Amino acid sequence: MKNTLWFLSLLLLIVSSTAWSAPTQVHSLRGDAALDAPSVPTTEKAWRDGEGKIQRNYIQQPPLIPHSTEDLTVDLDGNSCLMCHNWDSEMPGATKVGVSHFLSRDDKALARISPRRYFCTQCHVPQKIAKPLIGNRFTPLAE
Amino acid sequence: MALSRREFIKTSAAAAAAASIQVTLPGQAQASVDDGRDDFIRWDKAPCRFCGVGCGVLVGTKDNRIVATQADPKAEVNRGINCIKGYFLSKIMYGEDRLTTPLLRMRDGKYHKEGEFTPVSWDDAFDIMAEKWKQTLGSKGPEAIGMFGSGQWTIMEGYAASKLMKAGFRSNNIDPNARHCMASAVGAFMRAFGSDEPMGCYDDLEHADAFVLWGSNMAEMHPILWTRIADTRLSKPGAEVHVLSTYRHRCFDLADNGMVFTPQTDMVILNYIANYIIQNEAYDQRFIDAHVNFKSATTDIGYGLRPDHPLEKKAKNPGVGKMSGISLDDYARLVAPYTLEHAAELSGVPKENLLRLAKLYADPNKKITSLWTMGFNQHTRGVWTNGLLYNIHLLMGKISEPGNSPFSLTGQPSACGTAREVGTFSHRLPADLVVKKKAHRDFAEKVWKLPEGTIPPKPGYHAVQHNRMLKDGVINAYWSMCNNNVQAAANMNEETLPGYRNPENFVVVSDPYPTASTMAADLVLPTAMWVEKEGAYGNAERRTQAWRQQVKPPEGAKSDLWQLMEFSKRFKVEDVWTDDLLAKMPEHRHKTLYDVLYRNGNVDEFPAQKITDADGNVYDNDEMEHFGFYAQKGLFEEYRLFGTTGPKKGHNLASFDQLHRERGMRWPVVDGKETKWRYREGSDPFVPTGKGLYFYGHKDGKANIIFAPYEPPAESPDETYDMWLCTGRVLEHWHSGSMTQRVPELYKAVPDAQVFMHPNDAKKRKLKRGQLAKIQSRRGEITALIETRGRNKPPEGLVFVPWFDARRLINKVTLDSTDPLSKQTDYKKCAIRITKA
Repeated sequence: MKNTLWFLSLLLLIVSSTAWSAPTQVHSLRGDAALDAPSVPTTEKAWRDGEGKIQRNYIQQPPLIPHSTEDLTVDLDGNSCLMCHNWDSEMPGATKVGVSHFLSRDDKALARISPRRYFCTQCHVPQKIAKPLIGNRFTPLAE
Repeated sequence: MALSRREFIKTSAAAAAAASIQVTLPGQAQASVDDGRDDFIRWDKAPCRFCGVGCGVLVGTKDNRIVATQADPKAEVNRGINCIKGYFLSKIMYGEDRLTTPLLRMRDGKYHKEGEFTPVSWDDAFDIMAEKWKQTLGSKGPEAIGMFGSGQWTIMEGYAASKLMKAGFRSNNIDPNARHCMASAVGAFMRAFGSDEPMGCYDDLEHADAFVLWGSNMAEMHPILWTRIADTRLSKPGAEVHVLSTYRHRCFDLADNGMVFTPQTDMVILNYIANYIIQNEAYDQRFIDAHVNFKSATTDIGYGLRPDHPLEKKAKNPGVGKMSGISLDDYARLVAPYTLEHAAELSGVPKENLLRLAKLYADPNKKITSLWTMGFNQHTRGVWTNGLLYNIHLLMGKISEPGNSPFSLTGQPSACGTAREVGTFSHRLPADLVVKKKAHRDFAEKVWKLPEGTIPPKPGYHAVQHNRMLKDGVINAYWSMCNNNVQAAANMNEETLPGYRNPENFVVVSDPYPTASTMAADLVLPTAMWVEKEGAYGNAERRTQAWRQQVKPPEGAKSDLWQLMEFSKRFKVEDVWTDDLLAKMPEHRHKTLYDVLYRNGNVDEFPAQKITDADGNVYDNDEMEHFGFYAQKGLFEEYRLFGTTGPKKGHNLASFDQLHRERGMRWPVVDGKETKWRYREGSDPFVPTGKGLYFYGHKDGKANIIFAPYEPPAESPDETYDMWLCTGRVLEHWHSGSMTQRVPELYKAVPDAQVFMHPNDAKKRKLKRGQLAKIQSRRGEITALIETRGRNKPPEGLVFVPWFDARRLINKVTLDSTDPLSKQTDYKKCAIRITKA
């Protein structure tokens, strides 16, 4: 019995020490696909579209766009995002542009949206329905 | 029932973040509610980790975790705005597959090239590395080791690496990934002005009347500079934007004159504009007389391919950069064939658009800022093409004053600060010095307190050559840091992968995450990133920006600086230096490279100290704790001597302490004052009094207008491979995606690299939007989803594929042809065909 215990503890020791030097599974974003293997297959993903707002991670984060923007244009002729999101828009549920957007580069108050904020998609992006390739351990300050 | 204050705060998600929203000063202590609960977030400044714009961010830290990032309202570059990537910096360090232990390919308990990745200790990792390095140095010498560095290294890391390679191992085989992005810009700056980096600065974006984009999609790649251009265009009467590209992209949304040209014909358009200016006698004769010399480039210079490639054999003067002096009349004759008709015919751009552009440049009353990035630089005639644009600005004297600015934008956060200014290229030393000049080597050796003759005079292998030499077994011990070159380098199937997996080679890759490069490596070193260490970056407008360590890296991960300095301890000077050299400084015998390079009285000059900000917040510095001295400060202050006392004037950097106080400083910095416009009296302290403007990079104070003709690209579409492929980036992802693809919001914004193509091209091939297509060249193939209505709208005959997606490696398809002068790859042009997958 004593011998068996001794043997078992030795075995445990061997197992635990080899666990340190055992090969480990390392994957890049390619997953199992080797570097010389063909591209990883993928399929077209739909836009998340009209299921309510997306919670921010922190208050300074620009809100993500919870709908498709495929039919919207922002160019010299106009900004179709502002139809719903300008401060005076009556579109129910649409997030209104923040007061920061009415300040010039020199922090002067403007009557209309600051031209530096004109191209919305530099900071606000819509989301495809897709499962992240890798989890992220960032934790917001929510309680 | 009234809520107590405490309950109120508990109900508010992100309450602590909300408490800090008014905080605009870094590190300003925001008093938490007085209930004893710790709601304190420490805010401190740092430059963004991504592109060359160099935006300022405030990093919010709590309990050794980043809890938020926001745009720094006080940062001159971005004044309170970030792009979508910048806003998500807070998440880039927290991908759940961070590497935390060195991994060695092993079989039967030993290193084996075909073994499986096995966790080993840092000691064991450095043991096997040192063994391979010593074996290689012993049998083949310093030319058989190599290091691939980065424009994302901190300045101190790049400097420490350059010293280790050039002075320690005495090998010039160190080159950065900036070779892929900025080498052509550097080449053109040196030829035209004798000094690297732009004369102007971002202030030009508010001063200009017109902007011309040449091969730059700033709306996606330099988004915050684009906000400044949009601001000027939409608020300044008469301001206009001209955009030239080989396909329509988001910048065209702001364009008054959008032009899509046939690849490579930018050279024709540029020479046409010069011709127009001359034909109409619009040039500034007084400026030319005072400030300009005329030269002509050697032609038929090849394509930077392997010497046995038919195109190289056919070239008359492969790689020859010699210039000959000519007169204005000669120059006029040389550009004369580039008429409006010729330019329109070759480029495919309508005559009226070209004429409008030419008239704009020729108008003496319009202040013009021209901007470019990879369209010019990743070009088989990149150095020439950069130069052709300087020609136009110099003919008109539109340079080096507010709003008149030929502005070479930078791709990476420290391509300027680290790769170019520190000189981590195979031919360079800090502050524009080069290894082939004895006086420059002498100076570097003096600063480094090393014997004369330490630095080898022969330039090492450049980046593209690294992979070729790995494949050929010429380089056998190789270390890649702070980049992902297996995914980034062109022609992966024929050069990169065979090079990394060549059984003769031992390849080490340092990275925070498993990437395509780590998968191709033999040893992987887990690496600390961004604000897990102290550092400094230098952006595209010569602004140097420093930051403090904000959080500890994951247990087991170490900074590149720690890795470089710690590895140097494994070598005795006599292991790597010849007896002759050692005899010149016998006191170094028995010392380690660490002693000689980093304990030289300069680098270890500043003792360990408590690092605090103006509000008394205390910060870690893991390297200081480990080595026992303030390594970042010592390295930076030693490096600074190259600018303040070196043979090339005008490279003075601000002091380390000043950089920690300021939101960055634009060099040259003299007496604590920065320089906005170089070469201009009143702005640049190095211009002699009374000169007004003086291009002091050249001895005679003049810049060069250099004629170069149109020459065709290396590979053009033909019957078998009938389309152009252009590669690049998207707004939401940084480079190879190793950070941004791990941020769920950025991943979901653009989960897959798509192939952007014209609907008619899709229709002709019986393909539909959203289908998987096969993209095939002579070198390899990938599959990607077809996008015919996306943000990029190519003309018929051209497709665009971004390279961020590790699951479809577009660099299996690209060609490793380079500009033969700068050795920078042309990622924008090769021939492919598209079929249904």
